[in-house]
Amino acid sequence: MVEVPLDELNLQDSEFISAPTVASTLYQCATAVTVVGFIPHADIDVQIDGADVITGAPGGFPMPDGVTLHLPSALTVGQVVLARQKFGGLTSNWSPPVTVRDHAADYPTGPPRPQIDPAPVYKCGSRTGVNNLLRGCEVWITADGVVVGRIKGAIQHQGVNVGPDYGLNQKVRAWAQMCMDPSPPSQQYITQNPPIPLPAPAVEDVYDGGEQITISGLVNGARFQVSRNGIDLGTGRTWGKMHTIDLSPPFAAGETLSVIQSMCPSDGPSPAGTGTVQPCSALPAPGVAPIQEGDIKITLTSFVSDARIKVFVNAIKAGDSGGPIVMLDRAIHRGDTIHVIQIVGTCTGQYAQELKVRCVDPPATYDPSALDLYPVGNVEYDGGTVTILGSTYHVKGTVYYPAEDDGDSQPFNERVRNHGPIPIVFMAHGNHKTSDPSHLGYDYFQIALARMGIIAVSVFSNEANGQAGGPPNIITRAQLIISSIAHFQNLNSGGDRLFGDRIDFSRVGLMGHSRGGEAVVVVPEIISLAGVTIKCAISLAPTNFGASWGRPTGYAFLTILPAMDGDVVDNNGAVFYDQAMPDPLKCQIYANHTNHNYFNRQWTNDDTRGELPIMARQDHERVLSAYGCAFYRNQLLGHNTSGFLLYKELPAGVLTANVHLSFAISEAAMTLDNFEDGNWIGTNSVGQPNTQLGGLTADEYPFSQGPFGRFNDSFFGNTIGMVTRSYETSGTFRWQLADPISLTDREVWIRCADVYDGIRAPATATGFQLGIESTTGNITWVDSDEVGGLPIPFDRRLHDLKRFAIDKTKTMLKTLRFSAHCLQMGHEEELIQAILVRMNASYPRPLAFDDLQII
Amino acid sequence: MTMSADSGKIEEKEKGEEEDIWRMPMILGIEVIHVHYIHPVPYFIKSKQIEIVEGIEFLVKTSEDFPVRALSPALFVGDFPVLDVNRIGENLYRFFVPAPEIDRLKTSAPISIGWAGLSAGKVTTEYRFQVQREESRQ
Repeated sequence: MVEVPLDELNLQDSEFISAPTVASTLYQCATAVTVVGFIPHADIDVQIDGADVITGAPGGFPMPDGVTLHLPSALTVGQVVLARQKFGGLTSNWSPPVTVRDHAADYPTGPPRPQIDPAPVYKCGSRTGVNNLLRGCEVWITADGVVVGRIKGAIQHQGVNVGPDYGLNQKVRAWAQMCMDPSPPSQQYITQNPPIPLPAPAVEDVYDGGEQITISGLVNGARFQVSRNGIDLGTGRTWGKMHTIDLSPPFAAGETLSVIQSMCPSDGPSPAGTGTVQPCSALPAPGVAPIQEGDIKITLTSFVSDARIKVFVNAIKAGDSGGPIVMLDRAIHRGDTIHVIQIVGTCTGQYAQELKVRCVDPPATYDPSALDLYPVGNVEYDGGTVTILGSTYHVKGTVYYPAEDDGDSQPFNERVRNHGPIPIVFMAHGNHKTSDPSHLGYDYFQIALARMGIIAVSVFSNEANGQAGGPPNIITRAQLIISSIAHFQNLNSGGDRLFGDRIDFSRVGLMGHSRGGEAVVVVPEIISLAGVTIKCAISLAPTNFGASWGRPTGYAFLTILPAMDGDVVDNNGAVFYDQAMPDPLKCQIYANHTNHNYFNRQWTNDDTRGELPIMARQDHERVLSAYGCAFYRNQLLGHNTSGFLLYKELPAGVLTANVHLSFAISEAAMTLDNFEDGNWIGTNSVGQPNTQLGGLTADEYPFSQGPFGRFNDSFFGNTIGMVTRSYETSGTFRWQLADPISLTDREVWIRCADVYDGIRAPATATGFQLGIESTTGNITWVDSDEVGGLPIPFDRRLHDLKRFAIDKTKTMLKTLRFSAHCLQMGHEEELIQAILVRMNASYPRPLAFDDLQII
Repeated sequence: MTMSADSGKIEEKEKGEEEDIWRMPMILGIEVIHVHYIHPVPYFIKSKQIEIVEGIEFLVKTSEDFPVRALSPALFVGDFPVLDVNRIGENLYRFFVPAPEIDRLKTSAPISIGWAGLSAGKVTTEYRFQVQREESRQ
């Protein structure tokens, strides 16, 4: 992505304007619809089931919330809602249709729990933000049980003015209902004294021609007063942090803006924050999120709130609307050049954002750990003692569950109970000092699961901690997990006040960290409890003392491998991943800049001793929470979240540039070569010949530590793969298919890595091309950089040599997805007869490959 | 009148940054015992439970305790890793090899100490494998 001077481009405008977007999801009983993504000041039409219900409504500005238009009657299930915009004599197409749903179908236990956002709330606060709402619902706020504000037809994140202002130490909660169906109450907040002195607000950049300003640095609930060129324009209320307001007439360069905020009158106002309107020449190019083959819209990451956005595909206008999402008039394709500009009033930015469309460049969609449906109760459980290998251990730990309200021993959520048993996850920590309550270290993950409807247990294993080790210690930990499962079975069947008849033991998940990560691989091998089905397991930074058979089978498997693990330096989970069956999927997350300990809040020491650049603790937690919740939601709740594990979408709020995924699913159409057939490099897994061309040499090698015949010592899994070497950019490896097949609607997946040479990590990344050969001899190539690329081996050499004298920098394979849409461009009707890889990099290095599949 | 307030510092949780988890104690002594169980005792090989009637026990005296970490210490008899370990006293550890694996211990093989699953960080001791006594236990 690069900013290009507009006058160097010959962009062709047209009379096309984009369709806006109807904000979804729409639910029955909503009395309003919200339309976003339109040109500032456009008129909006809304159609329901083909009938015009709103015509020419002033849209105002598309940011921050679009325009909410009230309907003549409440929506009903199955209605189809469309919107279009009119601007400057032009009319857009109708938006993609949105079908009205029954919220009870999506949320059978009631609307999601409102969130007071931001929090906390303060004495003298006059407005509160409430998030996590169903569009069109009714939301209200209580202070000490008295309603102080209410909105009907709310948007997802709704500001609610409260009156009177909050006092000190009031108990504030938000509530919502949809179709008279009430949500649980929000978390309760006690009002605090506001910060004194109040900080000066800041005025974000404003440009000549603009009509909106965004103010930051606001205190939750504050009143703010805006002055323009010294003239008081009035007072507004805010839920704090940032606030966008509309002003007219349009700004001229050099105008001055000033904002003060106040809370309690007796405390006085803040200092003034000021800003000066910048000239048109300062207007930057907008920021754009990655785009990939087949996209029909672009998403902006930074832009002026009241800007008109124009998008050009190969210099021809294809989109014209407001942010943050601009619908295009066509699907875009690999190799297309995109230019995006923004226009504020009469000011056109002098730079365009230029980017190339990649084959696979998935968008950051949402945070899969953010599903917040219920309050969360927690309790410590005590299941007595158990004797394991001659020693006695306590069966105890903590459990978090959907509850009527937050806190210790709260009643189980009534509506969840009435809806039926829910899944349960058991977590197990690893070895650490016995003085630390390690089982408390995953509370953040337990809470995230409980609030989405999964009971989350963390097993106390401290009596297995300390100086013991080896396989019996892992077996002990596995038995402790099983003993806790048995305990909860007893609670479930024994009419327990909290858990009686609440748990679905046909949907059991496991999560283990460190030695616990090895124990959860053992549990499915030894568990004999009737009625328990292990559906999935997360093995986080596991050891491998050989306590299991090492082949996770019969359940979905996810391992998370910290690239900077300072303890389990071999990343032994790679062994488990390689041997796991995708039942129905398996996934490996190799996370750069993560260490062993920071996933557990009780493990405070950095196991790399500060010798490697690790990410912050909360970013470690985000990796586990986001990917872990996506995994459990998919496997235990049936949610459509597997895309996060298959590199089809990225979780918001995670440092995904550090995350490298391997994955496989049971639904693969064909494994063309996994190199494990014992038929050598010349024959592939479908019994057809492989060919080495153009000076390339390749052979099969054990991708593991120690075995005879390994390529080098940088492989830490347990599989056999291929390493190619080529000193020519024409070096090619070709796999022949048994029968020609169509690739339409399919993908080609291949695991691959830049082989670490054991001496130094390279400074720059390398790559390759993957091609498909049609029966007519056409070959279409797609570069690995266009589907995510090959990462440079993660360099940990200096740390390792200092600590234990052996370099553990790894050749760690990742899975690349090559979309058929890219591979087939222009040849969709042709069948393919071979798949090829070509070592086209300028600085070719040995590359590792495994698991070539057609999906 | 002003409200009085207590004051003081929090006791920061021991962070352990200074602890080197790769610190390897010196081996001060190794006693090797061939243990016979009068009554079979349960044991796991991989995740399969078996019963054993004998095993080789190494009582290892160290200069200090091993650091507490994910990886456990391992005794290597030649190349064979002895992974089953328990601390049974101050600076005293019991490593154990169950009956099915006894044959993999070669008499006079050098004994080294390291970390389970790692060839890295292995330290050769002055000891060699030799059963020093037989012992029967209930």
